[in-house]
Amino acid sequence: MKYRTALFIYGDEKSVFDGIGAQDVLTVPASKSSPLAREDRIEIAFSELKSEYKTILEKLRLLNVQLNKNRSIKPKQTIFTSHESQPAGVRIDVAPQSARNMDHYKQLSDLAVQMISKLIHVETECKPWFFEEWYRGYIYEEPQIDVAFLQIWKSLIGGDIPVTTKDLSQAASFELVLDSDKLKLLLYWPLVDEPVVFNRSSSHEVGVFYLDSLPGDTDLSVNGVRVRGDSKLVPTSMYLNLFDSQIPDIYANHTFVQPTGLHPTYKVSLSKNAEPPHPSCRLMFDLDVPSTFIADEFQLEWSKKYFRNVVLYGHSDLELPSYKVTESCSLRLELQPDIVEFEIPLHLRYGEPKGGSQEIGISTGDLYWDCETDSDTRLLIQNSFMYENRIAEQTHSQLYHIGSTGANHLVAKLAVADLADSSFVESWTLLLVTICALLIGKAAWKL
Amino acid sequence: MPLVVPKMSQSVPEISTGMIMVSSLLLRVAFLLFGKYQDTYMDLPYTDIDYFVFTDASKFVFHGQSPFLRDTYRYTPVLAWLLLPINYWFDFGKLLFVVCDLVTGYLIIRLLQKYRKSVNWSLLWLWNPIVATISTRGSSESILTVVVMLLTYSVLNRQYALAGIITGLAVHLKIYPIIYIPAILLSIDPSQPFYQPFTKKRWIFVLTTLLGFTSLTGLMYYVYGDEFLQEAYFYHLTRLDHRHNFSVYNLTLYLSSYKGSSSLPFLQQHGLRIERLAFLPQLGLSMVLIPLKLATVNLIGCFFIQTFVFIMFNKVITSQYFIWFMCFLPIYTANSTIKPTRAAWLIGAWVISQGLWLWNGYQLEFLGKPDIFTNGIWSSSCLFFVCNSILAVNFINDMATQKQALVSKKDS
Repeated sequence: MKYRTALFIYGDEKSVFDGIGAQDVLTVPASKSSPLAREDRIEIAFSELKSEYKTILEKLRLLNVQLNKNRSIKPKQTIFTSHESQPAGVRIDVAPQSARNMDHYKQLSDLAVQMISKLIHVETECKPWFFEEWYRGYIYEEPQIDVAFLQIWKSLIGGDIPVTTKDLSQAASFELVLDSDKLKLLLYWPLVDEPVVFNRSSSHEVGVFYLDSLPGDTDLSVNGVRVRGDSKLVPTSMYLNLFDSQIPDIYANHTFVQPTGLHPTYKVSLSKNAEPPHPSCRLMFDLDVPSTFIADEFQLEWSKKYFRNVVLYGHSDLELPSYKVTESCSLRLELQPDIVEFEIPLHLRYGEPKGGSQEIGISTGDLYWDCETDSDTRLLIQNSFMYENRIAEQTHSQLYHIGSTGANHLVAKLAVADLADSSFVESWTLLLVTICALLIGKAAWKL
Repeated sequence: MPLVVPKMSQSVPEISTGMIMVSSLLLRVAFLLFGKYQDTYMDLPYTDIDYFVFTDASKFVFHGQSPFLRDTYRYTPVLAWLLLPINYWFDFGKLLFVVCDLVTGYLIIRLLQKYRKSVNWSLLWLWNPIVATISTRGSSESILTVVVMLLTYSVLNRQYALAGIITGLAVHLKIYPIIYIPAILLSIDPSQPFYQPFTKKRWIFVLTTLLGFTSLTGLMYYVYGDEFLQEAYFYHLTRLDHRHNFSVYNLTLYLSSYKGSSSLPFLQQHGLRIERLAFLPQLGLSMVLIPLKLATVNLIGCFFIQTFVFIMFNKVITSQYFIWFMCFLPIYTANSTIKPTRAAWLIGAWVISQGLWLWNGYQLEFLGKPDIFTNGIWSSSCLFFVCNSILAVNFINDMATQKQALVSKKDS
């Protein structure tokens, strides 16, 4: 097992480095005024996994599970863009490598999504859909990251848990990446405002970094220190080659146009005109649409002033109520390159008639420039410090994300009927129809 | 046909047919231009969402594919075929619907002239803002109203073979014109005793109707297969519209679609559901009793009341459906004996109760107001239903007066 913690300093790096205590325990200072971002990654070889799940995982070999809590504010730029661009809720991507044909591929994907949903205690039923070369399942349901992590650990690995339960309960996201012969567990905390303390261990590497890029620079240069076991703090300076990086100084505001009614309009406004990192880049917007929403791709295709190209992965039934639909979908929109504001018309499905109104959430989408990479850059990135084999990286593109200014989710209120009224409504409807039909019949009969 | 002409029409100067048609065309052009402006500059679009459905379906046909690849396209493929020029000119469909709407108006004028009524009554259709709005927004109902008026025209001209072909076409386009068949059959050879129902003319009508329907439907089935039958016909028989609409059944359908059964123990015990029972009063009245009693009194009045009752008892009602009976309104009104004050009350009640529902619908649809289903949408649907029932009874009583006038005229 390999275990690495990367801490990122948002503010004054000097005070953090001066405050690092490296005796028997390693203490990295953090406070509300000087918070850190933290990522833990635990890498486990296939041979270390428990046998019960090894068989199915061996059949899958490519699996990516992302669990993200709802967040109300977005932190400043970090080096952990891949976490920041993940949706609120639960996203499961699977590409079973042992499938014999497409049907088998789908069956195994269904099984994998069911298995993972059970493991991480997600109750909403989710039917995966084909997304590029993967099957994807997405549920807008705030995950219990500590429960999910512990359950995954207990079921797949066993033994001592390397992260404290307090840290687990504060994690904002948890990701499981199964990549061929390795299983990686990633935990992420965007704002750590208490000192972080680690016991020194030869299997645990800790790094503390700050961003050393010039303002407006999309290439990330980081400096910092690393330590493993009883070693000294090793000064580290590196150039981060990433598939996912964030464009500084430009942000997008994601909102629902108010009032939402039954037809929420998802609006994205950029703080300024987004210049492409390279002339050939395409401005894209990805949105996972939970089954409670309707995304009408035909309607979107008519919005040529915003969208150059519209792709809907999966299927969004345009009529059924939410209690008869389990399939979500994903939208991938190619935007007009000079756009500063665009709107996506969505619709709410009728909800379960439980009275009053229900809060229907959707994760904010991911706005990014999609730029093709050459083979040298790809190789550089794949051997880089932060490299993780995620979904978008299969496209051999470098993604420059435009961060969001606010929460990672939006909520619309859906008015619903009340099932408690059903006997009253049905009996009076029946009575009214009968009386009126008789009156009309009587009038006609008299003729 | 009875000739009970209300005094109202006698005091108003007759407008020439040309003037009516030109002014009606100008009205629609103005609506089309305003629609263009609204679509370009205002938040709420003018063009009907269905127009985009037709257009998308037509694009599929244009590229040699099935129009049913467009989700929610639940019409005959003939419509998508008719709209093929839309692939070159987006507004072609609206223009076609406006032309159909004007042709419907012209046929109304011809029928009014046939029965020596004031053509001014045609303004109830041709100057009707609801009618003009619906066709200029891109709703295809006017194609059907042309066909329905043509079938009415040919039945009244006793061209039964032609009437049969057109009736077949009408039923192919939308299922509901099937309700006119019993009334037409009863109006053909009306003195024929009921125990000897088969006459040559009736056979001609039935067979040509079958020919008209099966030839087009067969052709569409040959081209598009089961999908055509499922989407264009069977869906409408089994649809469960849980989303809010004018129908009195709406909330019950929403709740029962969630529950999977009726809420009433009596219905549960017998495995009955309201959506199945709903066909009984609807078809019992509009397809059986009303034709039996009214078809021989005044066929157009009978069609009008049949359609009105069919819609009010339907499980789903949208504003477009009102066009189905409005095409008969001018001729019905020209023959009506209802006094103007009473008519004003009835129209007022219809408009207000509909307005009340629309207000509640707006609160739900655009503002998302909670707790509005029972004490807003459903209660105003009930009120609208009661108003419609009162109107229906008044229309039938009016027909009774027309019948008495007819009998008195014969006697004298």
